Amino acid sequence: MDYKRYAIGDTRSEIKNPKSAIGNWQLYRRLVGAQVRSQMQYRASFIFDCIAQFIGTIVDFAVVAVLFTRFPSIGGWSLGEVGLLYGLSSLSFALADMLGSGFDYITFGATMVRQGGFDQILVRPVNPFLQVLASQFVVRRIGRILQGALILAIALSLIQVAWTPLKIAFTLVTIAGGIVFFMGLFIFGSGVSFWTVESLEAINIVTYGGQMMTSYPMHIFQGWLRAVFMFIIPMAFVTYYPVLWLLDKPDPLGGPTWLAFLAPIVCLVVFGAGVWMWGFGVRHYQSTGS
Amino acid sequence: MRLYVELAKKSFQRQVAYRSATLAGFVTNLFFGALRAEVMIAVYGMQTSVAGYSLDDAITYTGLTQALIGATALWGWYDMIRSIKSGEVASDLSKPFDYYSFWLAQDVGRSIYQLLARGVTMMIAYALIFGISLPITIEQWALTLLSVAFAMLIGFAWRFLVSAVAFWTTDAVGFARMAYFLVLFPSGFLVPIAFMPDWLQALCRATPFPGVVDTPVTIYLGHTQGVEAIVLILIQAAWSVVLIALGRTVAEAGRRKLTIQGG
Repeated sequence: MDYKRYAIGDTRSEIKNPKSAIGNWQLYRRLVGAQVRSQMQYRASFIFDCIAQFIGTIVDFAVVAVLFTRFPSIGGWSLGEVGLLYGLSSLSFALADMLGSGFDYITFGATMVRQGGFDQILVRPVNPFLQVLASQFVVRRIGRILQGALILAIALSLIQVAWTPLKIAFTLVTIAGGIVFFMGLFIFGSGVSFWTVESLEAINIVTYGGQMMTSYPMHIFQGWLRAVFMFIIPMAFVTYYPVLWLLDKPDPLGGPTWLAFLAPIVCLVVFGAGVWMWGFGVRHYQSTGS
Repeated sequence: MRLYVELAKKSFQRQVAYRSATLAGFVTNLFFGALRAEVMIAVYGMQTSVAGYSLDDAITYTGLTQALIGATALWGWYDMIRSIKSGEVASDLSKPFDYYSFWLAQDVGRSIYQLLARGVTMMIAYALIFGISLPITIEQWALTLLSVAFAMLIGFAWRFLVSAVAFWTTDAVGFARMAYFLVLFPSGFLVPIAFMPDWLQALCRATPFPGVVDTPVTIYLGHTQGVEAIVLILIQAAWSVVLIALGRTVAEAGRRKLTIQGG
């Protein structure tokens, strides 16, 4: 995509300063716009994909629903309560997936790193992070996003929550935090892919495994697993602690209620770690002169 | 016949080369298995038996389903689609192989390797971590193995049929992704079919997919024995025949289309 010629030849829509923050944002919008337009070209394929995503989320929830026909509760949590965890997690993950697919290990690791597409990215005078970010804006994820939202809505209708403006705002922050968190994981994975691509399937443990874990109340998991997902990769802060606070439930593990408010900070830290790993990988890639 | 055995062997050897990928896949599968087992332990709580599944059965179920992932390529297989898209299919078709058997032989090699490297190893890991149920009689073992063989065959036949769509459309990958995904629920991979309400069970059994996961699992766990088990295996065989026949027909139509276009 030769954006430079585009910017020079068409003075009306020239991006004044591509290196500034606003310039970056305009460039991102333009790249993503082109992505979206090209994806929408294949209208049948697009609708088809959306239906597939829809079925996907229904199936996911059907599994939980089937479990609930056999078991009265999961770790003492009702269907609505688990649905809340699942809806928040699914919605955040789907949004992160739509935005951050450029970093996923198949797209980035295989195409960019292994096949050398990354060299082209480095040559352009545009922030490589931005290029990768804009490279895969997966419009078809809209299906999954809508279904995550639907499940969230259904779950909310099944439970009693003492809603206050603060709680509503906090729910939105939780979703935003989740998006930032999962994107951080994707970006971290892409950083790692500068060193190894073959073993990268294991990153699914963290991304998809994370999404699965955050769909269940965390206290049902055994000590070692919980420890990993509270301290090493702090999933517990993505949905569990925020939801505990929203539902006014005490933490069976004895954590204080203010842990919920730590959540946005934890998510940002994870994102930061991801970006750091990315930078580390890029510098390594450049210095080895591959 | 010897040619096909060679193909299978080569395919097996190719798998051996990707050792770290296989290990990564194994670790991933094991992790998700542990996660699913934990969820089972949590939901069972004080209950000892649900829909005929004891807690041990349920844990073993998560291990078995994870173990079958590699062998049945449950998450998808795109080699054939890639070869059609790239035009490699033209040279494949001109080889002295029956096109269907060409792919089948290669898949046999691949899936036997996966069964050993990721399936058997998974069960061993599970036995060490959780303690699992094991088939008691030789008859049970034999029937389980036979059922697993058919599960792999049905899995392949479905993947071939789905991949053959690539003869007609450039977005075969998107279609295939959905078609492979459709297998997960009715196969009993995500949740045991026995857990589902009767109407949902009937819906699932109307598809070939229980034969990919649920049938070998119930036979292994001893939930279906003797004559019942043999009937289930016969159903697996019947579906295999249907899917293979469909696959061959569609591929033949595709081949003709390709030839007419001068491809």
